[in-house]
Amino acid sequence: MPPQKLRGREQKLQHLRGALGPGALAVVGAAILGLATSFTATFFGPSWSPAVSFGLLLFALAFRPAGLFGR
Amino acid sequence: MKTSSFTAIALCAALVVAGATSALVTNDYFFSASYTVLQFVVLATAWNILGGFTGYVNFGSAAFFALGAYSSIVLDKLFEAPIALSIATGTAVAALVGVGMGYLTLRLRGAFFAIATLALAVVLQTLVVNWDYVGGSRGAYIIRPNEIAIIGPYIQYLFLLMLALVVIALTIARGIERSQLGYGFATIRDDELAAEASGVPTLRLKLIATTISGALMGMAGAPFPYYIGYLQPSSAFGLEYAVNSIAMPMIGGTTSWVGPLIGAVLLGSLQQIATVTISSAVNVLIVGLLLVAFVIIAPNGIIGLVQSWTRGRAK
Repeated sequence: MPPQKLRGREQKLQHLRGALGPGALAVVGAAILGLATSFTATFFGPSWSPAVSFGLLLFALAFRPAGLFGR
Repeated sequence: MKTSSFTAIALCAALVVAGATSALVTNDYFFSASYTVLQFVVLATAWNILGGFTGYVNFGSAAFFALGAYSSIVLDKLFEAPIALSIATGTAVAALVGVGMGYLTLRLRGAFFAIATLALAVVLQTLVVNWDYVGGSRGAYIIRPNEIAIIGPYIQYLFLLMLALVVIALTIARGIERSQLGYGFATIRDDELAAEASGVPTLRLKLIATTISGALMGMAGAPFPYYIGYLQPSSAFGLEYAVNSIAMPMIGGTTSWVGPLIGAVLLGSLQQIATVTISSAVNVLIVGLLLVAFVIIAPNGIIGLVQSWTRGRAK
């Protein structure tokens, strides 16, 4: 099968995935989740942060079930 | 047996139970404990429609339960709605969220679906905690009348109400089990890919399952504020609702409508007895131990045990 041509954002994500490898991707995910939670706690109050972290999890599962960098 | 005659029999049984208890039992605590057991019958039956019939493990039962409870709170704050209207609204709200959850998560299978439902529960809890109108994390009061006409103490009225909800839930579950819908659910449980390939509209059936399951859980939760009097997020979203509504069908048997009924009555009564005689903390331990024991010894629950026993005798 010839390699499929990827477009725009998808292409960038795949490049990032290839460059980082699976272990580093977990670090990226952790950074996204941790930063989102902490920023929410700082700017909106700590009672909102579970909604953000679990909301991110829910949206990741719903719209990108193979992971942010998965296909 | 047709669904209509089953409904009649269930109603008669409920009437007999109601008549016997109101004639024989004078202790109000009995009604309070029985209400909890009946509430778990509805919850377990509701969970079983999605978890047992269709094979999707919902870990967010507490979220739907709390949705029902909090819609009662909102209606009570708005215009002190009658309890029947609260139940109808709670059912509708939970059904809507059930459809939404179905659309979001039904492409997932197995553990991922369970994680998604748990995530949904946490998100909803956070929203409720931050919603000041329903009391936020401080909780909200519903002042219920002390007595009600004809029946007497309010807790007896709630008990009868829950008995009616049990009849509704069991009728729906049994109706689904014997219908084309139920066979469709069973094909999804056994092999979703093969079902899809044979022309079963799996996505639509799964959406129906999440909707009915969610609606019944909301229905179970709607009278809860009237029962407990003071509702706070940590009690409405308590883990015990999620765990119990999974454990009860598992212990009773998940393939039939009788399983959750047996499991909930057995486990619920055991918990109530343990709460009174030992301590309220023990009942979580009982659930855990029984669940472990049943998963190891009788993976198909009490129904499975009885079936294999009668089959062994027939040989």
